[in-house]
Amino acid sequence: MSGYYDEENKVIGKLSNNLDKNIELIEELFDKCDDIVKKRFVLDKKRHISFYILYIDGLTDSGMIERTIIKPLLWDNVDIDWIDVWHTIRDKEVETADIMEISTLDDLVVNVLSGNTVLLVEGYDKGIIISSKKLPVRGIENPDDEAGMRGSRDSFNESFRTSTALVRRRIRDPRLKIQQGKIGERSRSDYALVYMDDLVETGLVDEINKKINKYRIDGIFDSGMIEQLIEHKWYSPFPQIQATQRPDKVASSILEGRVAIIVDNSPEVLLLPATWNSFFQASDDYYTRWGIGTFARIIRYIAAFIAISLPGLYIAIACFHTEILPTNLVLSFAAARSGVPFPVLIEVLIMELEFELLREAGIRLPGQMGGTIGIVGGLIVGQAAVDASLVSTIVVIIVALTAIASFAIPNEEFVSTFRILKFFIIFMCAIWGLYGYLLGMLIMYIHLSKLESFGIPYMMPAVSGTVNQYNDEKDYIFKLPIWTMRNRPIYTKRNERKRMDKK
Amino acid sequence: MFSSNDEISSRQVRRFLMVENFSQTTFIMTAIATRAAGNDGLLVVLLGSVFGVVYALSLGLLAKKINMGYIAALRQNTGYFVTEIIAIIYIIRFLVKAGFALKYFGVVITKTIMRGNLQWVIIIPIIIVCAYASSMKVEGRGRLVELIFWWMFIPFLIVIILSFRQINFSSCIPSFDSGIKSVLSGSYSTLLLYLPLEFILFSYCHANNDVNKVKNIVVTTVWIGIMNIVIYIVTVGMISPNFASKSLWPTLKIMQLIELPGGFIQRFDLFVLMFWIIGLFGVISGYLFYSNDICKKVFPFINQWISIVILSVILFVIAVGKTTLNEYYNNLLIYVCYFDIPLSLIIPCSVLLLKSRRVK
Repeated sequence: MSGYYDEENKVIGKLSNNLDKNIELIEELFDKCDDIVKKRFVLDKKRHISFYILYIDGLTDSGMIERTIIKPLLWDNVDIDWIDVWHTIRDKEVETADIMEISTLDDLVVNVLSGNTVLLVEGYDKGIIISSKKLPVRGIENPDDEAGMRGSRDSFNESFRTSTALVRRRIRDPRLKIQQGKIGERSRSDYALVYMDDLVETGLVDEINKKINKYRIDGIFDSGMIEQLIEHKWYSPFPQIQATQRPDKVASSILEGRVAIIVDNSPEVLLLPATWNSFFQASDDYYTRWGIGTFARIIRYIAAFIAISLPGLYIAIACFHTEILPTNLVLSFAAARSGVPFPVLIEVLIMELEFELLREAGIRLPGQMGGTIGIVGGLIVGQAAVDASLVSTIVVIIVALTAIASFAIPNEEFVSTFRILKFFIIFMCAIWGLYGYLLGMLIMYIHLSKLESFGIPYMMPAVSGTVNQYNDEKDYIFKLPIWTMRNRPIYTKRNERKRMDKK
Repeated sequence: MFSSNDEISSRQVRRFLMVENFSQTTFIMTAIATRAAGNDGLLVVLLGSVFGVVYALSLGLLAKKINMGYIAALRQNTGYFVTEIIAIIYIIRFLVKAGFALKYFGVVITKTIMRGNLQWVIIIPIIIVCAYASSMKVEGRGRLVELIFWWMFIPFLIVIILSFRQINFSSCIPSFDSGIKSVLSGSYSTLLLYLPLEFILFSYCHANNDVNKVKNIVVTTVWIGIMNIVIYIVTVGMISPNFASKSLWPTLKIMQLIELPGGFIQRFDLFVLMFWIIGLFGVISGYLFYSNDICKKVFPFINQWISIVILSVILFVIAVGKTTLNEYYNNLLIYVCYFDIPLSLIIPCSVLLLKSRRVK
């Protein structure tokens, strides 16, 4: 069997004009594949003309095959030109527009396995691919991870074509390009680079393609796997590519010159380049008035600060610099801690660990159970821990506030980064107090200064904001009214930055 | 693709100068001025600012005339061997000054935020952080100073605003009884704090040409001078010239005097200091960055990380040496006034002279 495949796991060989030989090869390739439907039909016994149909049960619309291929060929075949059977079948008999010719065995295998139907005709060394996919798919649902108050409620799902359609529906411009490819030598997963041809920075699409095709890999089952293959600095805790479930976010990003990567079987679409600021932007910011949008942004930035810093700062102040706080407050902290046998660091770690366990358990448990574990963990275990003097009430408040703050950031992957950094800051503060906090933040800043996402400084527009005549700063912590954002962001090709003008 | 062009914007140039020059001056300028001229310290700061601007202008013009990477110009005009010697001189000079900044940093931290800690416990982690910061390219450093700029300047503004009510302006007014010599020598000594301006020679070629670079440098130095004057007025206005001259960190004293309205934070100075001190990180990492940059260009066969480690170890040894901060300061002042400042102008002038001869 391995003799049929080359080093890249592609099937070797071309179709023959002898249908029996083709069938023999196909039978061997799909041996013990019981979900494959294969049937030979005789078109004209006298002339020895027959055709062969091949598709996968469950991935294909069998009703459509009946209607558009079998019925016209077997029952309505009065117009067949027996001298040029191929062209008659291709152009007249097959009653569907989405067809394609193939000549290699690899194309045949890939198309069949993708849910298409293959039609082979006696005497021809090529086949017809009829698009007849009917993949099992979820409906379009709400974007659970990126819910918003205003704006569309649809989200991508696992169907590749549904995802591309959701983007195409929003940008009705032929300059929107959907460049498809396959990745994974065995999974042969579809992916598409979606971008505006005139807005995308020169070379970006080629670079992404180059990076995607740099590896030979068995299978790609989610966009997260592609993300890991193409990111520049694997060791960075910060995501260098943005993942989203929202088609409106993807569409608006594409109009800013960014590239979206849609991967089959993945409801998360990748957006790149990405910056620190892009992870703080939510779709509703642009649909609500600028004041509310700005307020929400400021809250999110404060939330990010709390999510990283609060437990660390508490440890620093409680262990090293109690003199910072007024005496009454220090006394109240001390009273809350009385009877707790652990040092502050251990106390914080116990609660943080409990919270991380809750979060992980909440994700793994089915819907309603997830909510229950939150209540059980948060209220009952937390209260019991305080009653048993394992932790103080103030630590429960600190950890709860940190958790709430982390939920305010509209990107799950970014929040996970903050969870890791929080522990780093906790340890720095436990060793060096406020000085440790300063060192930790400096290390983070240095790292962020170095970081780029496909050539864009990660901290744009906090850094290099002048590059685009300060336009990116209008959509930063303060989100100015839409009419002021006349230029597209830095991602866009240099001479295509104008996006709005008065008529 | 978008930004990898080894260029820094004019805003980054301004922030470079601010972060690398302003931080150390805010801490020590008042001490230098009041030690040199007592009640006439304001004249020292004013004249020192003028000297600083002239120094910045000279370096800016030299860099403009050289019109290429400084090390490349050295190599082109003096040959490989001389370039290597000059490079070593630069590295030593930078490390000596970085050593002072680092020692100062260690002392300030152990006297304020981390009382009672050993200095090396404080110095080692900051050296590691500085070494990490030196490993980036000039674009990365440009971004870093843009980020830390506000960490420094927001506390500065807060201190100015909160202390305004407590300033006794009469104690800042010069009495003109110190003599011209004291004022002039004091002003010249303040150039110690403007020495990071020398980085202009190395970074000028990376600045993009969207504005007049020399004008940008001069205007920024004028702003640094204005801020130094403000800091002097605030410090001396709150603690008197006599008290300010007794310590190498009089600005810290005023931070301890100001109170946050509402009284939620008792020791507000710790928070302010914590962020303000980042400026010193800017200076130390700047010296280490340019030393490493010189190493990379002159000795390309040495691995970048090896050179960073070697430079960091030397810096550590200098900073934790047995010399006290005051001794180090006094020796450094003599060295800077008689050798370092003249050298910082003589070397680029010589390069320029050789270049013009070569062109002829």
